[in-house]
Amino acid sequence: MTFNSISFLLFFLPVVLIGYYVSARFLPNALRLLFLIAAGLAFYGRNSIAFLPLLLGSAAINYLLAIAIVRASPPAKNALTSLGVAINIGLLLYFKYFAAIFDSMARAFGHPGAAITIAAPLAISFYTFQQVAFLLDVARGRTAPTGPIRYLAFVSFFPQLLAGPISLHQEIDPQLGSTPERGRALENILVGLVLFGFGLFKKTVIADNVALLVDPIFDQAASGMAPGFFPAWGAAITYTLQIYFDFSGYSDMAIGVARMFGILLPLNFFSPFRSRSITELWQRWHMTLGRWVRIYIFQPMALPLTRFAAARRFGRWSTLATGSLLPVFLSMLVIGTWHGPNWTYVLFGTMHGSFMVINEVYNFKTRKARRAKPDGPLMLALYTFLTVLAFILAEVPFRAFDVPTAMRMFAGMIGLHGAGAAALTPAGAINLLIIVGLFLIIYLLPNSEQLMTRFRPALEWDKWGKVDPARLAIRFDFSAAWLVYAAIALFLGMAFIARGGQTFIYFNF
Amino acid sequence: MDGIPSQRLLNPPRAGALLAGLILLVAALCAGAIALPHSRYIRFQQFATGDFARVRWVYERLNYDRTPIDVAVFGTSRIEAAVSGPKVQKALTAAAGHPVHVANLAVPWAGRDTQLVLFRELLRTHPEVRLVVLEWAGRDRISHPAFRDIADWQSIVGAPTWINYYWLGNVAYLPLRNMSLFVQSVAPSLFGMTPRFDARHYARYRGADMDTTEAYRLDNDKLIEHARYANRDDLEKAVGGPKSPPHQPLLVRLTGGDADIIGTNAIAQISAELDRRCIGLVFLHVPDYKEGDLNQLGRPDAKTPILSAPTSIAQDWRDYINAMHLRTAGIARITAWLPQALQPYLGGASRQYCGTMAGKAR
Repeated sequence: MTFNSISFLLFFLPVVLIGYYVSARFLPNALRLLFLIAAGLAFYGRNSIAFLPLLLGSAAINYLLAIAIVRASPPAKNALTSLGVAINIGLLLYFKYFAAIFDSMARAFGHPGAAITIAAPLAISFYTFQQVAFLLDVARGRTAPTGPIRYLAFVSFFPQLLAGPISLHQEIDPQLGSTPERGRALENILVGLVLFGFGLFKKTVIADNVALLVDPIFDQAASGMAPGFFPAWGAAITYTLQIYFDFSGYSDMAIGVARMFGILLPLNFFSPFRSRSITELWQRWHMTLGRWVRIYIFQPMALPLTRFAAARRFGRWSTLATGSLLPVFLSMLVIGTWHGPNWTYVLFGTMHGSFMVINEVYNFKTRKARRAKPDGPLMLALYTFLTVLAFILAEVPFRAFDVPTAMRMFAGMIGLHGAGAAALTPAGAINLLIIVGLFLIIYLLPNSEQLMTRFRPALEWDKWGKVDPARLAIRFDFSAAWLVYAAIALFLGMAFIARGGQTFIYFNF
Repeated sequence: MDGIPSQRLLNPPRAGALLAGLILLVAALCAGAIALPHSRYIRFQQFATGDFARVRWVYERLNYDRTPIDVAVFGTSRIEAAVSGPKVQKALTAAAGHPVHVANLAVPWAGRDTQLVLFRELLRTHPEVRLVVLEWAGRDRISHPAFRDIADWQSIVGAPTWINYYWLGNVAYLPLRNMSLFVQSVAPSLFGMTPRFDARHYARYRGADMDTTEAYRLDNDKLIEHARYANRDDLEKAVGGPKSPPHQPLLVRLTGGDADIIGTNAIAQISAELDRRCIGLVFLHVPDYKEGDLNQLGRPDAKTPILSAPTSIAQDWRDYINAMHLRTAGIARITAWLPQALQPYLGGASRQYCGTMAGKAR
């Protein structure tokens, strides 16, 4: 059962919403949260019952560690925090990476048949990162455990459980702790449902249809055939659009479902293809993963390295390389490998790391000149174009079955296998129109959260509400026309579920 | 940290009205989509290739081919592969001394609901039918995968709802299906559809004498053939252990519901309609490789006879192409046995035998 399933939409969600607001109205707070926990566990169990004990065990251990960290003396606090992080990362490494590492080593030592299989628990990457952040934030005094029920409600909060956003305890816990305001339930459900409908439309109508154009080419490349120039570029661009609308749709749905319960989630996706640099793009694509890596990996690495460079009186460029470029590159490598134990993700991370390094170097070199004479609109458009182009290139290994497949795709993209199409066929022309249409949607229309701006759709909206206004400044209100648009989006989104769509791409991680 | 606006943006009655309005609009759009008109012929063309390509032939045989049908056979791929319509027809005709037309209308895959759809199509188009033969292979509890594509919306919505795990999914599929069929009906050539059955397209139709037990090719050139031997080891492995009893879902067990609600309902409807029209009904059992006693499969009902193919077929591995489908040798044995088995239930050429039939068969 996922957001894009009829059973979720017509059965699970209404039942849980009614149960939640009834328990909020008539029962003590703890029972309301227990109901929410039961719903979260049922949601997770319906998808992956075998790993439910792991989720519960992980939450229990982290909660107990957090209590111990709060009560411990400073040296013990550090030791307990390190232990907690090691347990979490150890579990993640075991379930997600151990089999692949073992397999690689077996091959390296000439025993290719000695592979082992370990099933990766659903959502382990998400709830592990969330709980590592919790432990580190408890140790730093940024948050504190507020009771086992509230903590389990935070970890098992089903709108974010399977594929994020990777929210922080201090963001969600206070909201979970406060009783839902009477008289706001219907407003929240309505706003959430509209957001959910937009997300569902993006997923089932756009992303799942675009996938039909992508899969044959990548499958062909995986089977050893070399795609021509046009098919290879077509597949790379359409896959980028597929994952864009897939993830954007999922993020809208997660925010929408949480809003129905009166909970605001952090933004996870904010029109990243309107960014003017790859650095900015990563502040707007999978924003909560980017934030996690920035807070818990980049900053702890960059500060000591910068101090190290300063202490040794490195030159400007050496200091930049040590204190900024190296941590940036390594952070992107972590983001890449977070997706899974495949060399394709390593390549994805390496490419993004390299793009980020180039971006940082360019900024460093031209900062003064650009401050004196700001870039014109053409130059800004060029930056956006290059940013999206870089992203499209990195999506090739991300989608490819393995590195040789990615290389075949790249070879096709540089024309080593011919054009691939003698002339533009009617089907090709339609595909081209679809691609152009989708990019126009991205560049001209506001994103779902901007559309819903007057309802403050996500956390930190005071900040994000002012960022990058859309070219067409339209805003949702509950006029008759908008109600019809919302109903059409929800209806089409639901109708296309029945075709038997695909799971969300990020459920694989 | 900024949160939900502290000021209420919509008062509860307005929010409630808007929410109800939104849900009603979605419901109205669903109803509107389901009501969209479309060509039934195009509906039966949705499976150009693959397992269910047969439903198009069945529709064309029933709707556009005026060759009468005296005996109609419904079942799964097991029956599709085992019963040669033309050969059984030839034997029955020879025995009766007048033409007895046999149509094998079996479609691969289990699920009685599709058989019910095709049965209704048969009665609508060929009321002259005298005997209906339904496959019996025990109870199963699934909806046929093609049902939601070929049934009209009333059949889908009107299917049994209690502990029918497929009902919601099938109903939810209707708006998209009917929108798609509407568009295909408006511009059929754009989607490779044939709007009308005419001489130009007649070549695709394989005729009333199509023999499903002989090799034929699907539109995608996939060869369906029955001449090759099964691998004996594979066959033995496939029937290896004893068959586990059919899965009884928790809800079924708790409520004492009918695990095979789709099949039970379809058989009851078919049986009642045949009773009303005084048309004969028999079940036909073609055994799987090494299948044991027929009694293990249970009975569909108390009154309808089951014609069970000789059990010796099930013992010879050379009769099978795989564990469930006969190959040439097995087909020949079924072809030799089935006409004789059917003959008593045909009674005569006219409907006057109805009373005899009712007394004998029921």
